[in-house]
Amino acid sequence: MGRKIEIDPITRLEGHGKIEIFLDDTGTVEKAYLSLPELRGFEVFSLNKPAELMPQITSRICGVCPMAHHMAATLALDDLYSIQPTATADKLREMVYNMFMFEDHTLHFYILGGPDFIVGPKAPKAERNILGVIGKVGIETGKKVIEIRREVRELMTAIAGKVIHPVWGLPGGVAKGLTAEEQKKYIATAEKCVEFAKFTLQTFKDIVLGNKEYVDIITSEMYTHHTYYMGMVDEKNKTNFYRGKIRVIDPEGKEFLKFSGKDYQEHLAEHVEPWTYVKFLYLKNVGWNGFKDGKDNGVYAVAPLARLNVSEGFSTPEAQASYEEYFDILGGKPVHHTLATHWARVIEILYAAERFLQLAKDPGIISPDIRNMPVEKPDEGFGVVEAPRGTLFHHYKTDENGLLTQANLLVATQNNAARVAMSIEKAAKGLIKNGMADDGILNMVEMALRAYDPCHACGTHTLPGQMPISIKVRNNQGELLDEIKNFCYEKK
Amino acid sequence: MKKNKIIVLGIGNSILGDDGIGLKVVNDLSKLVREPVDFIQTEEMGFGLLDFMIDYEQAVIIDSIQAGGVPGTIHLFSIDDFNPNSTVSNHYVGLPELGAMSAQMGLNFPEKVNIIGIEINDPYKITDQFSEEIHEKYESILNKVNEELVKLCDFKKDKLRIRRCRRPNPRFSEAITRI
Repeated sequence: MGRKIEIDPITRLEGHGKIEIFLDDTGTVEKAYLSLPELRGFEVFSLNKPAELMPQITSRICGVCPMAHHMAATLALDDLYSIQPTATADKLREMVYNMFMFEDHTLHFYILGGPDFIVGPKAPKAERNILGVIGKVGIETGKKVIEIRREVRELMTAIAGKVIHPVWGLPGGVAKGLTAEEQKKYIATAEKCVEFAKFTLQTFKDIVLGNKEYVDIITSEMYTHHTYYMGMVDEKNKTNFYRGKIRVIDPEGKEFLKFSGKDYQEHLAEHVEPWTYVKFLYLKNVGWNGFKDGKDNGVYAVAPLARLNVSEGFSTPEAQASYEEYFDILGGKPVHHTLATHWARVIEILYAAERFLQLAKDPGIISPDIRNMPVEKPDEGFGVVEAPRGTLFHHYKTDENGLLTQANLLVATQNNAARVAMSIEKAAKGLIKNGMADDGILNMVEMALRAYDPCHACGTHTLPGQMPISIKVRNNQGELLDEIKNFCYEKK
Repeated sequence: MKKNKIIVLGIGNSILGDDGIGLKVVNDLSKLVREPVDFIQTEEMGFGLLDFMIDYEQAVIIDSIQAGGVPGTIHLFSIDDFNPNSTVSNHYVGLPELGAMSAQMGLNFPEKVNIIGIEINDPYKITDQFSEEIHEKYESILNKVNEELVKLCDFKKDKLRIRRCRRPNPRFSEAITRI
């Protein structure tokens, strides 16, 4: 029987995630689609603007991870003007970037990651409160999270101008360096960060790994996908958030690709679906074969789970030891369990803290040599970083005066978009039987999304602190059977 | 540096069109209103707002909203109107969650938090200009927000010196960048 699919891409006026689920004749899920709002018009907005403004302009795209855009834009400017930063500038940039990764990841773990491991996915909504892990480890620990975050952000502000919209990156260097006196503060804070990161890892092990039920959920089929993985590594294939090449492994763990950021168009392509504005990135060399697992489909994942899969380890000792333990316990590489992302994230917190300390202690970081002046005419530039949520690409073309003629961004979450859609479909298929949808589906969907830590339409602000999601269940004629949503515009 | 007991915090994104309305309104109010209030604009969100709000007795947040109404409509909320919830990302942490977290951790969150939501058209297009409709209605929006602020903060009307504001320069983001 013909099936009517009512494709209703998210309108610009609604701002919430829409999931449309279509059932077959037996009331079983045939397909599920997640559509989310997407920012439009960046390519037009940036035209004719000086490329040197891009670190400030693009940092305004996201109110949570502006440093990621700022740094990718700065690296793109280096390439655009064919200028390498000084050794000191490179160290400063990488240090500040690791401070940002530490702070962002730490917040996610303590405040957001908790409900899934503390109370579990079947807990009633009233028990799934905001405080997450803090509810388990206590208020004093919560205060330490706030305090260390404030301390790190103050130091980021001191060097980069503003923590929300840094005014720091320049082609060939940075605008401000460190004095010997200032260096002492950075070292002291970095030491605290390392100790706190070790405490965080132990907390995770105690709460999560000590709970068999949660370990079973991590490794369950519901949250497992066998896809390719992508992330940035250095010349020794160790994880590096700031500079390196992009490495891709296949679902069996073998290296499939390794390329420079500037070659992304040769290896990544976008797949378009009529039901969403999001374009799904996939590996060109493999091809698009639908929203499914497998070696013959170019769907891939990024962010902590992927980064640990693609790398051969970490260049810092404690993180390296944790990396080895992670794969020992989870049965080797690669790990395909989406919820293991939370563990991978905690290991990255440790790496970011250790790398922050290494660079803060480096004698070369207080050199006044913080910029090489560009002399070449601009043409085309590429910048790539590992944002907390995955690989971020910036690509600019300018005229000879440095005014943009083209700008393209591939944001981190776009890399994961296909796998997110697959996770939604799997949750739907697991929980909708005979045409009946369980409210528990919202919990399961949220669990998957929380692991991916999506970054959509960051500039808009939701008043209640949910990712507004509406799930519509339709029969094979497209008629609405049920709607479940976690938001309401009516006041209580 | 915090100087007063009340903060009026304008939040939004200066390159997402109408989503910058909170920033522009607070920018203009800071020039119009002569009361002991700290007018702050920020493009931060989620936990970033905590850094601004701690140690004030009262906070009024001014932001864009989409609630299915006519653009330019003013919606009023109290933080007490909402229940805090679990969420999926730092990107979706809202004011109720900040309030709940602060209460549980003994942080000095304002006792009274109100939100003035300005209904807008389109927050997803990257532009530094308002939509035509919001641009046309801006003066009316500013005056309505000002009236609500007088009531919320219990300002004495005879202390206010309000000029009728002219239509804003469409490229408001330039003004904000200079501040």
